[in-house]
Order: sequence, then structure tokens, then C-alpha cells
Amino acid sequence: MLRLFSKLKGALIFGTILLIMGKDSGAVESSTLPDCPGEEVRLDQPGMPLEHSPVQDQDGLGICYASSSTLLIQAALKGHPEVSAIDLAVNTYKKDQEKNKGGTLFYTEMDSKGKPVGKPELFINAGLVCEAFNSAKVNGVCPRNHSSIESSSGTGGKSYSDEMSAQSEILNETAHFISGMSAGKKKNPSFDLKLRESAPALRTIYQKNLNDHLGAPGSGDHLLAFQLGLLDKAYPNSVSSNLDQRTKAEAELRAFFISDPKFPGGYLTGIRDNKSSRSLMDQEYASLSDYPELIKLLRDSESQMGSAMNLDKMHERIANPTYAFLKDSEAYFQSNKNGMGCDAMAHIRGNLATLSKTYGSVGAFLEFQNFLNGLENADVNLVLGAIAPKCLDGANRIKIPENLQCLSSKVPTPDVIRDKKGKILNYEAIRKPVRQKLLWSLMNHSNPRPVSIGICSGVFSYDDVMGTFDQPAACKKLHPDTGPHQVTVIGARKNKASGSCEYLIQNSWGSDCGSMSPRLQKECEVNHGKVWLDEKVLVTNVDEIVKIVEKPAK
Amino acid sequence: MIILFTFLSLFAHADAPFKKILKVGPHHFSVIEVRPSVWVNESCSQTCDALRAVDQMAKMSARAINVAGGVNPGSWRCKMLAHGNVFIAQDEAGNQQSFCRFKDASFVNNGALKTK
Repeated sequence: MLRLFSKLKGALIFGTILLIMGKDSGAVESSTLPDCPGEEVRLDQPGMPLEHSPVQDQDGLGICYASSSTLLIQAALKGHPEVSAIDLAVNTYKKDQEKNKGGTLFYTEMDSKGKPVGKPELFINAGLVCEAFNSAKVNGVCPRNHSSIESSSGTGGKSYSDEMSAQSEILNETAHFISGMSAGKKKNPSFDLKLRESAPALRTIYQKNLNDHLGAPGSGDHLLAFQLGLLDKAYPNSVSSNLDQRTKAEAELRAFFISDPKFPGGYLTGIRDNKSSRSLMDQEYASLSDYPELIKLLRDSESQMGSAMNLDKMHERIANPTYAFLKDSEAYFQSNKNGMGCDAMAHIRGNLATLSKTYGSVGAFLEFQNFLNGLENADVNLVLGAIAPKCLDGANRIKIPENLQCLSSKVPTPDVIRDKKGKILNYEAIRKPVRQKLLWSLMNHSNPRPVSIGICSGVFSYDDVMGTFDQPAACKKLHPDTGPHQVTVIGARKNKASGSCEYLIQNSWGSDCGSMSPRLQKECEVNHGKVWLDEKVLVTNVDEIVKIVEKPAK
Repeated sequence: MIILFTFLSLFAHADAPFKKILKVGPHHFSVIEVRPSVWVNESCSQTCDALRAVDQMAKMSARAINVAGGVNPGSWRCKMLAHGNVFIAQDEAGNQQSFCRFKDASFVNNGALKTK
């Protein structure tokens, strides 16, 4: 009864606010500044889309964008289910999502009644929030209650101490994976797009030279030297050095499973039985028996260009058994809720990385891209298996409706004018588009939605961060332990004492307000980690606004 | 007598640290607030690795953090400066709060790990 009353009360207050706002916004034209609501508007109140949206803690994982994205997704989905941010972040690195990348190039701002306002704006290619959302459209999202870390389901530890250890392992491994994939995307030429760009060009040169030298005495040696030279230019390590690394990886893996005194008979976290670990070890060990043959085959491939460059043979002899092993690993995860030990996972992944590099080098010529994708996605699945084994099964994932899209825009719209001391002279002109975007979304009559903002993290840690929005480097310059951050705006109110507008921010640094600046600690809602941020601080430090909206009906 | 007992009880309560029950996975555990906004495991009311880390951290200058993705600064300090391990606890409503755990199994909320 109380709960019902509470819901009705929340709905009444919000309805009243909407009526007041509706009166204003009915007359709203693109040139007007929407009024800040006199009464608090909060999307985490009963009856609102984020009623059940406990604050998240992204740990040391750089996944603020995923945490923020989960709130936008939750608000947009029917029934508003909570979804896993860690699963979303890892899935963002899955391949074959090109068709969904890029977001929308043009977007027209809507007022609170859904009426188009102003000219279409050019969108910066959707940032990580939209990339995560687009990944979710392909892969679906994992309900948070399936995530071993983000819910009470746990990893299967028998005590809270076991559980803490297992969590730390999984979190460390996930952090390792995310930073590796993130760095790999930027730097490693064997990763997706760069390889795709370089492979056709390399192939053309290769074919030309093959034609030139076929039949000539010593052509095999000549071509080999040419090929290796080309690979050395294209990749940081030569095929041979990659193979040497592979040999080393093999030795390490063997030593790990067989002779490491810390893990006799294979890896055990204390939460798995000998049988399942042994089973995994057996699978891994079995796959090792093919390695010497694999290395010999690759070396032969280099010295016998023609016959060794047979793609079918490669697949038959190397790729298929390896891939089959990885598939078995997935099956293992699906059948063992506890996942596997992350130390073991790190070793296997290290080994896979070497495999991937080896194939990457040869693969540039052989168009092994599909196989590489398979390897990397299997790697993603290894991590996902530890985070949320149930969600490896697509049937347990929530699908994102096709009509939803993610829109990201840079702010502010007008150019910033500063005086010699750096003071912003046209604050009012900058404030208007930001307030419009925030309030029209938060206070939308029929469909109130939260808004994700890109903002300097220093805003939350220090009290002196102002004016970083048009020069992001200024953020780090002010304080070395700050940088780009993504949080979610879930409410607004007018501060009755100061008269200024304030926005309720749901951060992803946990319910503890300890990481907040002294001033914000006073504004921080202890046990919820939500904080009211002054409009001026927000407006002068925000550099991106992201929303999830329905595509306009054709 | 009753008044005296009530009076003493009030003092006893004022001295007793705040306590809250959290859970990790399905398992419950309790933490106590030994200083303002510093929550540690119950067996660490006086001294433990966790409290030593809080004190040591308070003497350190702020370090440049690779903050790509807006990492929780406390978690970053836990791993990189205090060499602890992070785990995420939850309250009954599902709100998450990360802790830093040390070799002696003591732990502290990451928000307490602050540089000067």
C-alpha cells in the first residue's frame, strides 16, 4: 500500500511538473531557454524508467561509457531491465559490427513534444557510448542478474572470502583484456581494419612478383626473401620471430599446466573441483600435441611457397583443430557455471595472442581474416564466460529493438569566446543548447529519458575544474589524475537558495562518495553515489551529449 | 538509574563505529566506519594492511592516471599504488561499492584511498 502510495505520489509530482513545463514548452521555440524545473525531476523515482537503477561501480575498468550506456538502454527498453555493464563493455570489442558502426551522421534536435527544432546537426562519429549501444544491437544485452560480479549470483565461491578472490581474478583479467583490446585496436596492425586495408595491397604486390618469378631459377628463395621483407615492413615482428614466440608460449603453457607447484595438476581457484579443471587441462594439453606439427607446417609454408600457400590445407591442418578447441572451451564455459580460473585464462589468452599474431602475418597473404575474427571472438567469449556464463547462450540475452538509435553530439554548438584571462564571455549562448538537450530529454512528456554526457572526471574529484569543454587537454593539465569520463544525467531541479539549475548525475564510482571532491561530497547522496551538479560546472566541462531515441517513423 | 543507563548507552553508541552489512555474490559481510568515510572489515578496527595503505596513500602526491574510460580513481590507486585487489560489494538495493583487499585479507572502501 505504501509502495503504491509512493508511486502515485511520484507520478503526481512528476505530472504536475510536466504540466508546468508543458505550459512553457508549448510556447517553446528554438530560441528560448527552457525553464529549470522548480521541483525536482528524477528518473529514479517510483514509476520512472530508472526506478530500479542502483549505482554501479566500474572498478578499475575503463568502462564508464558502458555503465552509462546501460542506463540509457535500461530506460529505453520495455520493462526497464537492469543490464550488465561489464558484459556490454567486453562485447563492444566483438568483430563484424561494421554495419552498425558510425551512428547517425545527421540529427535534428526535438523539443519536449517531439517537434523538430532548428537545423539538422552534424554528429561526430558516435563515441564509445554509441559504440557500446551498437554492439548491444548486434549481440543483445545480458541481464545484470546473470553477471557473477554485478549481482548476487556470484562466481560460486563457498565463502565471502573465496568470492572476493574469484571476483578480483575475473576483474583483473577483464581489465587486462579490455586494455589489451583497446590498445590493440589502436596500435597493432594485425587488428581488424588495418589488416583488411593492407591485405589486398599486399596480395596485389605478391601476385605480381609471383608472376614475375615463377619458373625462374631459385624463385622460391627469392620470393621467400621478398615476402619476409614485406611482412617485416607490415608487421612489428617477422613470421620467424612470431614462430619463436609461439614456441616459447607453448613451453610456458606446458610448464604451467604440468609443473607449476602452486597449481598441481592444473589450476584451481578453490571454487572448482579437480575434475572440471582436469578436464580443461586435458583439452588444452591435447591441443598442444599438434603444435610442433603446426610450427613445422608454417616453416614449410615459408620455404615452399606454392604448395604451402594452400588455404584449404591450412584450414584443414591448423585452423580447424585449433578452432575446434576454442569451441570446446566455449562449451566448457556453458556447462560449468563457475567459468574457469583466470590465471589459466590469461595463459591461454597469451597463447592465443601469439597464435593470432602468427596467423596474422601469414594471414595477410592468405586472407585468414575470418579465422582471425573467430580467434578473437573466441577470446571475447572466454572473458564473457567468466563474467556471465549464462549469457553465452544468446537465448538469455535481451534484444534491442531495431527502432532504437544512439545519437551523440559534441557541445557547445556556438564557438567559445574567451577574454585574455580565459574567462568565457558567451556563456549564455553555450548554456542554451546544453540545457535544451538535457531538459527536453529528461522532461519529455511521454517518454522521459536520461542523457549520457562526456565530461572531465576532475569535475567530480576537484572543486576548481571549470572551462575544460572546448579544450579537453585542460582537464589533465589541471590535475594529473583526471581525464575524459562519461556519466548519466538522470534529474534536474532549481536550487531554491541560489536560483541556479542543477542536474542529478549518476556516476559509476560506486555508492561511496569518498572519491568526490569536498564540495560535492556535501551534495552526494551517500549510499547512492548520485550527486547534484551545478549547471555552470556541467555546461563548461561537458563535451559530448548522448541519447538513445526512437528512429522517426517514415 | 534508567536515566543514567540511557545516558551511558548514548555515549557507548556514540563511540561505537557505524556498521553496515554488504554482500559479495550471495555472501554477506560487515564493514565498520573507523574514520569518517573509511570503511574496513570488522577485524580491522585498529591496524591492518588496509588502514596502513590509507595512511600511506594520504602522504603521496596525486599521480597521473591513465583514466581512459573514467576509471574509479580509488580503484586505480588500489591496484597501482597500494597493490591491492579490487572486489565489488553490493548493498541490499544492489548499489555497488568497490573495496580494496590486501594480503592480510583486510579491506577498505576504495573511496578512502586518497592522495594528498
